[in-house]
Amino acid sequence: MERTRDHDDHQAFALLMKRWEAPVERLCYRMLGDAHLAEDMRQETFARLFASRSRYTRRAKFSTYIWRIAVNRCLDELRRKRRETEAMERMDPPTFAPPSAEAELIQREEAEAVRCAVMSLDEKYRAVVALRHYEDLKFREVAEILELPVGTVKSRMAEALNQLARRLKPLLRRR
Amino acid sequence: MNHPTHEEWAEYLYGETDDEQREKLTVHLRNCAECRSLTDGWRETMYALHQWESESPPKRKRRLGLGTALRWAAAACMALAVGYAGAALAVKHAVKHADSRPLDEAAVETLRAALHEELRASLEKELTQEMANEMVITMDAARRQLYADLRAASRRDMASFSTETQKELQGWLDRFTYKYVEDQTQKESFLAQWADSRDRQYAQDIQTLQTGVLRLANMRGYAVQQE
Repeated sequence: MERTRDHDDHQAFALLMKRWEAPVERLCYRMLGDAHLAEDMRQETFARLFASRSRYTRRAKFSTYIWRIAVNRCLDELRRKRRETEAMERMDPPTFAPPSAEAELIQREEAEAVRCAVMSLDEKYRAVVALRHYEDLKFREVAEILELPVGTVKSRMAEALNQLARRLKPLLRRR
Repeated sequence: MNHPTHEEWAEYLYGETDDEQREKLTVHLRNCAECRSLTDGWRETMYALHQWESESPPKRKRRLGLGTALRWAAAACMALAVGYAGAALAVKHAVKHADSRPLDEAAVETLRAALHEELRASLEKELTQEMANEMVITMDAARRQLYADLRAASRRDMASFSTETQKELQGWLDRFTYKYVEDQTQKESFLAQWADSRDRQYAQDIQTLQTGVLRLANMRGYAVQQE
């Protein structure tokens, strides 16, 4: 990143992208629940990273820096989407797909039910779930990325698990 | 009874407590139905979250063959480049130094063979790495399946077990979950190392190509004619 910042080294930036594009897109997908949107956000994250290269300092780890840009970009996008679709969401809350006899279908339905449940979480909880549960970062790292105290991150994770447990009850009962 | 906080349980379930605290919480769990019910619900939820984990975004999947295909393409380009550079230099040489020494075709061939050999070795190395990478991914999928099966089996049969067996099974599942999280971390670190070594290899290949072409140019006495 320093080579990109100091010398506008495009090759170094290409290497950075190669290393980070898959994890960033994965995080965006967990935050947004939409593969196409996640791809757009991944591109925007790198565009912002490049645009803000002069502001990068070694005070934070690079991973923290890039995760933070991606999370903030997703939160902006969610806020924009929420403004657009607020009324519609009130009328049409996420629902679980009806059970099916076919095992493969059931598995897909379960994945979809989980996706809906995660998407129905408030963004502040969803960010913690995406980073701690899906990206498997430590609570301490999540706290650094979100710029929150570690205790807050843990309590958000606990609250997220409470809410998810309630929302996934029909799915858990089926097992 | 003083119950541990929800934050402590979150730490516990994600394997972030130290040994002493873990032991303390495990003991508490054995004696407290309320906390057991809470953590059981969370455990099941955490497991359910993995259902979505296996459903990745379509474009996210690692295309294992692409790197190798690109490298074969690079190898072909390199062979062509060496051949082309030789031919181009030969033409220039013929035009500008008609009276100088004849083309050293054997040297060009030797250089091309050396580069080819070097590339072949590096391609073989990468193939081995990709196979290892694929194996990690396959093992990961198998482990997830095993985890899913175990959770399903324990939920189904738990009621019929004695309390002692239930505790034993629960402890075993806890340890399995802890190992599972550890394995995930190791897998990520392996994949990151693999990606780094691949990047370094690409950079080396480019260097080899540059050196090869320059060597050829120098050998033919055209170092100053790199237009």
